[in-house]
Amino acid sequence: MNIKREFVLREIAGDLLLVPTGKTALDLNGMLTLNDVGADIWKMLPEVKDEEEIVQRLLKDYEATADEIRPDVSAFLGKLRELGIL
Amino acid sequence: MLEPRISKYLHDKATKQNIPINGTLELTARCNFNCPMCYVHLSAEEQKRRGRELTGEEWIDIAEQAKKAGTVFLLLTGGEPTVHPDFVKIYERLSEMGFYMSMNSNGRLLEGDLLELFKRKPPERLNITLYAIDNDGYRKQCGVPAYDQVVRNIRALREAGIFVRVNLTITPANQEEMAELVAKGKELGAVILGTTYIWPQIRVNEAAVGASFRPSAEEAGRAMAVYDSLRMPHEDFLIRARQLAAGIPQKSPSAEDCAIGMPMLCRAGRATYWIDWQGNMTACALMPIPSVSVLSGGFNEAWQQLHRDISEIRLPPECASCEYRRICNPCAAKCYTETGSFHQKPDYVCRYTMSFLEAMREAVEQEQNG
Ligand code: SF4
Ligand code: SF4
Repeated sequence: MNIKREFVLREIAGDLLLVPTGKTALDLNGMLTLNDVGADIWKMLPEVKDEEEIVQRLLKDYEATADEIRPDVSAFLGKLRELGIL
Repeated sequence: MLEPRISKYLHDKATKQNIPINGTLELTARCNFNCPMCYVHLSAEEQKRRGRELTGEEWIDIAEQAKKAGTVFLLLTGGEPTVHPDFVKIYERLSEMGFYMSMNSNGRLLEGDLLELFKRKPPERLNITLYAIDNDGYRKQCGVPAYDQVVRNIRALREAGIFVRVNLTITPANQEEMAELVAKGKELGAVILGTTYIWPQIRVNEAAVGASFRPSAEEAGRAMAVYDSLRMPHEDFLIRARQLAAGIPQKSPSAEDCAIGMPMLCRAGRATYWIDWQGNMTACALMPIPSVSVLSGGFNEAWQQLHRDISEIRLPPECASCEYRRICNPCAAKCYTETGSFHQKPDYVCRYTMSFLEAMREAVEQEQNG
């Protein structure tokens, strides 16, 4: 999946932040934080082709069913689209 | 999973965990202006006599170490940072590393290629100081008639969508035009930040304890009240003045606090740091000591040492029990630069605070008398 903006993922005192770089800093004036799952999804984004692949990959690392994971993944991707990141 | 701004939360957390989350890199002590009240700037000759400026590569290396240690917020400053010969290289590399980066500048060189650079890699914020309201004023204040140029540059940066805060330093040279200066600042900047307190120049000249090109404490304190009346809507100003005149309730400090003085209250040396143009880490811009070189033992070692040294500092006992503390915000740097010692009460600051409050009380009385 294609990330349209430039970010650097930083871990600070246990918090995960997406710090915008380049022009992204202009129109995304703010600070984005991720939880662990969010960070995992973020890291796999460039390698996966769709939402389902994310769900399948997460199943390997988390003790949850696909039905439990799917809504979270959808919500996260929805938020990224809303912000014009995806 | 995505949250809005959490800067304060991060700073609080970093302060508790002793993480250097916020740093300032003072790229150079040189400047293309020559302001008489400046706390830092040195001529090229004087700078050379004292030591050498760090190279672009050295700054980039320091920034990489800072990033590993947890720095998220980074401010570039000087002198005038853009006169560093490797400025463009430093800025480009640092802006790719993943910092929320801002910069202090006098605005003079922020055009042409530098404007294009900021358009491509916008900083989180530019703080540009506006010193006067015309070219003549700039000549008097900074030695260069650069008003038109600075104003043009600020406008172009704003047009490009860059967040510019206009800083205002009220000095004996521009005090008479304070109203126009504040109005201009508001017109040009997204926000303004001003002060009438001028720091003693001990970094420029060791003997200048408590001394600078500045008005009396009384004059500066009263000028701060005038500045407040200009910067905010009249109604808000009156609310602030009434609150100040009524006195701000204070928690009484413990006996022990009073006896030994308070530890430093700010985040300096606990979550924030400053690295001067020679690569020495200090707690803030104005505190020449404690100071640890990052060049010898590296960033982390310097940070740990600085943190240990800072915890030893105690502020004047008088401040611990002073009812004006919350208004005055006494700090280690003020004590040291004003008196040459951390635990001596900074007399100039006391008188400044009293005069400021007196002017605020007068504003309330004036309003009551119609
Ligand atoms: S512009 Fe700033 S750094 Fe330069 S001389 Fe003036 S106060 Fe000092
Ligand atoms: S500097 Fe003076 S006014 Fe300020 S807190 Fe200390 S004693 Fe009080």
